[in-house]
Amino acid sequence: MEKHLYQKLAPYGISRRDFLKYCGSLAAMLGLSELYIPQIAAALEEAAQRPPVVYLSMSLCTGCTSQMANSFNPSVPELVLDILSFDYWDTVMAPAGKEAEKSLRDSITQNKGKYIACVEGSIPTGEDGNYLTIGGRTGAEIVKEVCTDAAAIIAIGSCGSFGGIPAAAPNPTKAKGVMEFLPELKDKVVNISTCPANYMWVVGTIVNYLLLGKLPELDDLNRPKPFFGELIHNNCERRGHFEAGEFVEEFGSEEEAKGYCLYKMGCKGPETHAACPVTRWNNKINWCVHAGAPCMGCAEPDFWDKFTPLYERLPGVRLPGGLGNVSADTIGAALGIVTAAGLGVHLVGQIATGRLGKGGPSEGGDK
Amino acid sequence: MGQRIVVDPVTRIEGHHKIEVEIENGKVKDAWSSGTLFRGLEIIAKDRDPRDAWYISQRICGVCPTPHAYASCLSMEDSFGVEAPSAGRILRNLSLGANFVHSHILHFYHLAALDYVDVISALDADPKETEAIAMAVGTRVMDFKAVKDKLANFAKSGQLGLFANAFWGHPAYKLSPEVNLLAVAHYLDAFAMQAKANEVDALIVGRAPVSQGWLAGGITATPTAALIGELKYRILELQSWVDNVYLPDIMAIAPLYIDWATIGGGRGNFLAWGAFPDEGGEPTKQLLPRGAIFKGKITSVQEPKAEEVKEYVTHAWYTKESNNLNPSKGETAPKYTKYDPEAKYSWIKSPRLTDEPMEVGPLARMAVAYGRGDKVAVDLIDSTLDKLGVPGKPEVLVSVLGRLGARALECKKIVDAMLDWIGELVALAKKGEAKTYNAYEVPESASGVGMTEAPRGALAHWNEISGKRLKNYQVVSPTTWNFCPRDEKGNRGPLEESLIGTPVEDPEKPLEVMRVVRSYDP
Repeated sequence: MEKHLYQKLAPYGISRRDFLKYCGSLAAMLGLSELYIPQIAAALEEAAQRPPVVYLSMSLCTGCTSQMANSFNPSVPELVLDILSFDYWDTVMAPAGKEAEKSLRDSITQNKGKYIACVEGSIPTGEDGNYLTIGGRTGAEIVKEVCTDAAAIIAIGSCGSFGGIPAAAPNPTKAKGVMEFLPELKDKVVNISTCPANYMWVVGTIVNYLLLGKLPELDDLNRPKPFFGELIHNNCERRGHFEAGEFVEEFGSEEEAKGYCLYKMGCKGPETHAACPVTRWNNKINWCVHAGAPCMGCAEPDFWDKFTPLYERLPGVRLPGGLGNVSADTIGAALGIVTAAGLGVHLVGQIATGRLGKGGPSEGGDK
Repeated sequence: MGQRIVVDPVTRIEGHHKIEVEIENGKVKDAWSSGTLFRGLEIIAKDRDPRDAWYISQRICGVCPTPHAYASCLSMEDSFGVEAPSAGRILRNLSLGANFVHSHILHFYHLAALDYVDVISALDADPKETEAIAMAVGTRVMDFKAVKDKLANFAKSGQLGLFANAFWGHPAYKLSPEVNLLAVAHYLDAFAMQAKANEVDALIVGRAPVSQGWLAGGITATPTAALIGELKYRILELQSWVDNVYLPDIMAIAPLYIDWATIGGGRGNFLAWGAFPDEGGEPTKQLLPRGAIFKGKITSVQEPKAEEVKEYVTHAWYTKESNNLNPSKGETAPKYTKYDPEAKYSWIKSPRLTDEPMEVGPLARMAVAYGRGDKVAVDLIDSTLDKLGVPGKPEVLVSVLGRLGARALECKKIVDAMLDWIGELVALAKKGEAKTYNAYEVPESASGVGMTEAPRGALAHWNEISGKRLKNYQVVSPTTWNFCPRDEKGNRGPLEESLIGTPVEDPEKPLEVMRVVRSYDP
């Protein structure tokens, strides 16, 4: 008889109690009430077959896969051996070459319409897609084939979501995110859009799908609301100092150690939607802003162009005093209004300095 | 004409790679290494604020973003005329050290091990015997029966996932079922340890890999007592794991694959820019010292210079304007033509030092340190050679097994040093010298270079600034050195050269080729 999942986990010193605790942490991560814990446990245990996942590497740095390898609760062995069936994941799989390609082909044929496709990296479309070839085929060709028959597509990281660094100006390889490359599949795409993706949000999205049979609620950029529903600024541990008008003026200073606000150092938290302050990173031990580093806005589309230079103050954010002690939501709403004007000024600045003036995506890499 | 074999994609690496070999009489006669992805980060960096260079170039490698951040910051500091204060330098070294420990564990257990460990064979193991072996070699004892049961359940499910379609049962797998089970158990265990090393990095710079707390002039974090405590506790745990699992595992498996001490060597040309500077900043006195070795003459270490580097594109998909340039004046102008081993066949340029192809990585660094008489390196290497029954023969290091061994010994050297750095940090904090950042002005025009080491080898970033903007940005990364195609004179790249002579039992299942490729940790 098939063992319960928690019995399979026993060799790793994981008790039934630990297992339920883990289900509880998944519930919390998904913003669900504790009442869902038995349902999550049942969904994880009763899956007759481990859900098949194929994980594609496109134009990437592998930083998102590296982040996935940090997974803790569930651990990587649990993810790989007990929860999911990673039928193709070139960075970690045992076979190579034509044997690896067989793994991919077998899975997408046998599980047609049922597998989850993860896409890390963007899709280069310049030079007929030849900036990336795998097994003699272009990345573009492979992504199209695999995504078309997937039940759901998780675009991993800024590159998979919105093009990321390869698509930054002047986008030498005409790289695109999955949604832009395959607009007809937009309805089944989930973007985990930070650079890199946070493993907790990828795993949380997959569990949501296994549990409820559908993707989590998405925002208008197809990002799961549980992880991208709030501005960094709203949940920031340094927010109190922003309200008090206490700002860091130099890196590594006493003010930085005291947790003063990093807005003047270039923090993009006021315009960036992500749950970093809540879930944090690396087993929840830290995040950029806690380390004294300004948020670079990596969850947002085109942040490499619209939020740079990194250490320049975000335009258009009115400092406290102007806004007074209004609620976080009000500031968020106010930001929505001032952002447009602020960004306009910023873009004019970029064109003036030649940053955008040298040509948009149409100027390829053939120079 | 021998038989041509192509493996594409090469898996269990960072990025995209294809290898083609010609096999004759059961051995590799010729080889062609091809990088199959171009992104153009050097082009993207142009015209931007120089202060942003480090976090753009960090995205060159998501397994080793930390050394890219480091090299870029050093490059900018060279242009800006600023240096990180002592506490900033030490925190940077701890961040880089953590990235090395993470990467070395990940490479041995998760990227390379499956070329030596037959996962399916472990199903036939007697767990009691596995336990006896673990105790005899002094490595970690786990509940091996539980691991075997777990593996059996997994196999029974019929969904082999990551482990499907591999070369299981290949005659080149030499371990007994019991040793295979031991290795599989540690493969699973090691995931948590490489993540633990990332925690050390993340505590300092926010998250890891790919962090936010670096910048030219230093580092954003301040060394509070709380931070130092969190770091030290984790480093002690990593040190214990390296001493009691990683090193004994390597020593247990090495004798069973000892023929790999004579395979996959190559020219014996080694380059290390060196990394982990101490207070004086002297490149030859770093924890991993700078130096170059030619034709295996380990006792004759030369002084390599950034000006001696040139990149050829004769066999890479770039225009001829990009050819034969020092990176300070380098160009990246891509032009794809078809894959043709006789002409152009890679996105990787061919860097040369004084016109010589150079291997970089842990083996190069340990060879340079050994050649310079670095006491820790000499003791580690000599005692290992004694244990393997080849005392006084450091030349066996120039091999596939040597690369794996050098990586493990270097991991030990670094994790030990990290505890020393914690001590230095505490001493500085006590003196009130906890400053981690020095301010600067971006100059109107300047040029600079920054050199360090990534886990997989020598790394350098060149920059040229004009009008306070990046006029040019060029990077020569480790896998460019190791996996490059032929140069203008037809000299093979280091991987291509080291594949020559590799025995291949079954050309349909070229497991031996994969061992050579992955020994470089590409």
